[in-house]
Amino acid sequence: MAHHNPWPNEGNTGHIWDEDIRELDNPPPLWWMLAFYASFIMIIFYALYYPTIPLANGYTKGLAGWTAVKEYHEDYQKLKDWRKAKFADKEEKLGSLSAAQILQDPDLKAYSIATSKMLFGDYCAACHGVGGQGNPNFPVLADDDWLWGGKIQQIQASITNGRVGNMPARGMMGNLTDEDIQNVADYALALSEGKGDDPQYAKGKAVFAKGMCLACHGPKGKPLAPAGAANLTDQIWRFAPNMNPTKEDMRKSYIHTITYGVNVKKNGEYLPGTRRAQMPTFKHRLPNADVNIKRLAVYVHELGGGQ
Amino acid sequence: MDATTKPQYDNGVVQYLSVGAVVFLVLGTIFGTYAAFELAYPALNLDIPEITFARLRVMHTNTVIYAFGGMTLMATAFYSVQRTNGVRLWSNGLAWVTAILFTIGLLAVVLTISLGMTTGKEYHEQEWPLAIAVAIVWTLYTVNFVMTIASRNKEKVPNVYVSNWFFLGMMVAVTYLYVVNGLALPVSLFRSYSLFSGVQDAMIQWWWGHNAVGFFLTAGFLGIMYYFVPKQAQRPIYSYRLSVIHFWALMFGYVWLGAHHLQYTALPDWTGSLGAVISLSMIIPSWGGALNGMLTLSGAWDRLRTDYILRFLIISLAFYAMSTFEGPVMSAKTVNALSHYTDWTIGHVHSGALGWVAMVSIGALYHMVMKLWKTEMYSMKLINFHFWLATIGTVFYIVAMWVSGIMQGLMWRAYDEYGVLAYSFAESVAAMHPYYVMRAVGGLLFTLGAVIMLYNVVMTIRMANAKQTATAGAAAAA
Ligand code: HEC
Ligand code: HEC
Ligand code: HEM
Repeated sequence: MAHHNPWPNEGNTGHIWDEDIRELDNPPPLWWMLAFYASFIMIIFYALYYPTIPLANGYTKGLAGWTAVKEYHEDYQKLKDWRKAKFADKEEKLGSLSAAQILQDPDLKAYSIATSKMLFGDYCAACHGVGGQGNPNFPVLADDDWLWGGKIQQIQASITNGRVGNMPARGMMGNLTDEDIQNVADYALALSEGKGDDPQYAKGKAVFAKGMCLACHGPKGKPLAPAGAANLTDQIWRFAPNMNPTKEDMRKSYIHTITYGVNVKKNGEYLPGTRRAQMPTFKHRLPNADVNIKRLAVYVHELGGGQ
Repeated sequence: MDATTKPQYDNGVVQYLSVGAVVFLVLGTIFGTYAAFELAYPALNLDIPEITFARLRVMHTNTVIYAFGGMTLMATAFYSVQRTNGVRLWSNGLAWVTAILFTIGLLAVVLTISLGMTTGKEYHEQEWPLAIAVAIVWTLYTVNFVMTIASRNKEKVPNVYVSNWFFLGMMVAVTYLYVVNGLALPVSLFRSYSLFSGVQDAMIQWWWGHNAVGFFLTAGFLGIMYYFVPKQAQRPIYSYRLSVIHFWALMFGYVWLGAHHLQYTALPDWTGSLGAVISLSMIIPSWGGALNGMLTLSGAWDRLRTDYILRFLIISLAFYAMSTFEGPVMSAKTVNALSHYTDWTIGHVHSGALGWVAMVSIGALYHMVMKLWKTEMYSMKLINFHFWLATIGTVFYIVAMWVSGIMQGLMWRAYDEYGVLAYSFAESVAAMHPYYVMRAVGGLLFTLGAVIMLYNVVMTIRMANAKQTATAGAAAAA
């Protein structure tokens, strides 16, 4: 085919493939060639400027004196210096004052809240929701219903050391029958509607005593002192299948909780079905934990329900 | 021309691979679109482990890259190598074996990934037995291709056409990169551990990873471009010299780029810089290919109005030029510090994957279907419709990801008036939701186009077969 060129005048190279594929003898556009050479020149300048060329021992360091770690440290230092210039006194006070004292100082309190949002967002919101509005099976922090107490020290303790609620399966002695459980669940639900004294729930009320539920939940369904047990007299659910459960959903959920308990373990292993409820400890988890836990405690306290 | 003087080619295996490519395009884009909807509405994973995002994403990448991209590469390579060398395949039987093994291997890859078996290496998730199978199939493909070129009549075809160089470059690079990255110690049938560790493993991984893009999805598809653009446009390639220069520049340059995926990590500083600067210097060589393709059309631009297949080919070059500018820019340190880990990367990938790889493949596949079945398409209107769905879908996708990616990067680094990060990670995720929806809708449009293509191809083949039986019947009756 090379011998025969049906397109002699179009300036092709004379090679023809598959009957009609051919290439013209045009040079590449001038701007393209110039840019192509410029690319090489750019490589040289770049390599002079940045660490780029490996050598037998190490590598060229470049005129800029740039390293990734240095860039990071310099940027971070700039930020730290800026923060220090503006807020060093406040940060110092957060370190030396107790959380309760911080609460007393409107300026410091406002500062703690403002600087907590992101910490809360990154460390807490996954479980407690942005703004502490809660998630199914993770308690709301923005209300005044506390499992472990809403005083600033109690909140601080919750964050520092974590919390693990405990509730035995089938009552304190583990001896409730399925029928008992249904009755006491109905009674507990009635408590949440303020109807606990209705005669129709008498059976359940008896089970509540027999199972010694009242030891933790209090004689009227409201714990006498915060020690982890849920308040059963309101409709703030601790364990729910979704954010807006129906009454039927909650009946099922209650029966489940009472049947399997909360954090019930045997030989160090959770038993199947038991509710898992654990607030992790943060004293080793947060950067600068000492100050940041106080900051967060103030923030949580001021979400709406602090006492 | 007299039919008897025309060379005869092996078409059956190309027909099989072409239809396979279209089927996998549909499947892969369905996976991608569903994955995109899962990101917007996580409940859509229905708590079924096999289709959770983590697995579906990898099923998607393997299906689009290897199944759709790979089949397209095999179909177009087997098609064009015969025609540009004026000979049949070196071994038609071997080509069939390759094609069938490839199909089975890919189905096994997607299946095992959905079952949770993975090496955890991106674009190399296949566990070792399947990785070995892939390497063998790839070698068979390469051998057949090389031997076909070698068996040409060197009197009649003294020179090897440029499309073949690109295919060859891809085959060589992909073979050694895939094999080196795959070196691993098996501990059971579906579990192995890489021979490399730590930062070396990361570097080897992206040495391969970037070249899954650079050679598999770029060099190979430039081979497609160099055959199908002049064929469809019926115009000579603009410049032979340009093709030589940009070919060698890409071949030497691309293997250096991998480190641009690992800047600001434990990788030594010089390695990242080297990757970045070679990336920047790849803009012009890449544009060489786009330019050569586009200038091939000079004097024939009006044909874009009537030739819908040509439209796919040309718009693919526009996207190619755009994404080969964007990628190098993203390698520059200051840009990378913002763009890395964000959706911008995903947008960049898809302006290449949808705009370039898929579009050029679609153009080539339509072209081949008409030639292989010796017929017009069942419906040219549907091709035009497909063109618009694909283009609008792609634009939706990449615009959504640009906005969400840059927004994400800016939110991560924003400080408030106290010098504290202004947004938590969860807030940046929430802010991306509308763009995730937009991307998913773009994907839906693109997928719809692929489904229409499949329909059009199937109807075309049925039409061609019916015509054949009719003429055969008429001949028999006469
Ligand atoms: C892994 C999920 C998880 C994370 C993360 C988490 N919490 Fe908790 N948190 C819980 C659970 C579960 C409880 C309830 C414990 C129980 O049932 O006894 C709880 C309880 C609490 C309580 C006690 C609530 C009460 O009613 O007394 C406070 C206060 C609290 N968390 C604050 C925080 C803060 C502040 C953070 C972030 C630093 C945080 N939590 C992170 C799961 C989490
Ligand atoms: C040892 C103390 C203890 C005893 C005894 C106990 N509970 Fe509990 N109960 C808890 C704690 C603690 C929780 C909350 C778990 C948490 O938030 O970590 C809880 C939670 C519950 C809940 C879930 C509330 C919700 O909103 O989802 C119900 C219902 C309940 N208890 C009913 C009972 C009944 C009925 C009994 C008696 C059969 C009982 N409990 C006995 C400690 C106890
Ligand atoms: C309907 C069209 C498509 C849709 C909706 C889609 C969707 C997606 C999604 C949701 C992801 C995961 C993004 C993330 O992790 O955030 C993804 C990744 C990817 N897709 Fe697609 N995709 C489509 C088509 C394609 C095609 C045709 C190709 C290649 C030819 C492709 C190649 C890739 C690659 C390489 C990745 C990984 C990107 C990375 O890790 O940076 N996609 N796609």
